[in-house]
Amino acid sequence: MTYEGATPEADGAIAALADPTRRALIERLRAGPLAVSALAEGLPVSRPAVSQHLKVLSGAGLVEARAEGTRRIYALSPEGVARLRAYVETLWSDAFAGFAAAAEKEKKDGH
Amino acid sequence: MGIDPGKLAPVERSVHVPLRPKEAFRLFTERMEEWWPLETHSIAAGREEEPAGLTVEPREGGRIFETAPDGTEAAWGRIRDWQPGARLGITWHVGRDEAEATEVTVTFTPTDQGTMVHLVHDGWEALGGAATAIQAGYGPGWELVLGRFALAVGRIVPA
Repeated sequence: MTYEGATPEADGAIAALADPTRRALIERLRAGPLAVSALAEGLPVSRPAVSQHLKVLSGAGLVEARAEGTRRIYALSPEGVARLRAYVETLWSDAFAGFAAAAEKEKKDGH
Repeated sequence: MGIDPGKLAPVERSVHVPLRPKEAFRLFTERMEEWWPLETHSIAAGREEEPAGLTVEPREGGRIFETAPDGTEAAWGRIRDWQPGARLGITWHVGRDEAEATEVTVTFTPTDQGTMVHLVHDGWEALGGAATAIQAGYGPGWELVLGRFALAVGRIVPA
């Protein structure tokens, strides 16, 4: 499906999630905040690549980073998540608008 | 931010239509192609095409699938509950493996003026790990996100 009609922010988030490694990172963050080393563990990509993916996710507003000593800790961003959620709501709103219009027409046509 | 796997927030939508429940159900299901915004919400739309059709097989176990301009069929889901005029349950797995389906349930409730149609989209816990997506080599696209929506969306309850 396409994401026409999504806000630019949701658009960026959706594009960011099109990559499987980035989805894997998001999956891992679901359980709670993690350092880059823990995030990279077991993934078939290099640590710099993981950092790069985190940068994209951060730019898309899906994750947030904070420094803890020398480590950077990543966490899911509630706002980014809320935007994505709003987008899925848009899908069903669009669908229901179409359905309601078809139903009105049906009624008018006297079926 | 708090994350509570036990608290999956479904997406819900309601609309009132001036049709009797049986008619509303029929329009919603067998005639979905007539009203679904395929030009923006379809797999083909992700490729800047418009699908040739959208088919709902009207029975329990029936498939819902999109037909591309070249005739290729792409599954959207499967009907798991078929109660004409009352209730429709769909396992929704647009662009993903059926094992990772989320759940869409639509109920049709009669009113004085017609029917209240209520949709609940949930079941995000059914989505497996990203490993499946990586193995399957799913291409980019929004269809994935609707499925993966949850990864990000379903389980997170902002503190």
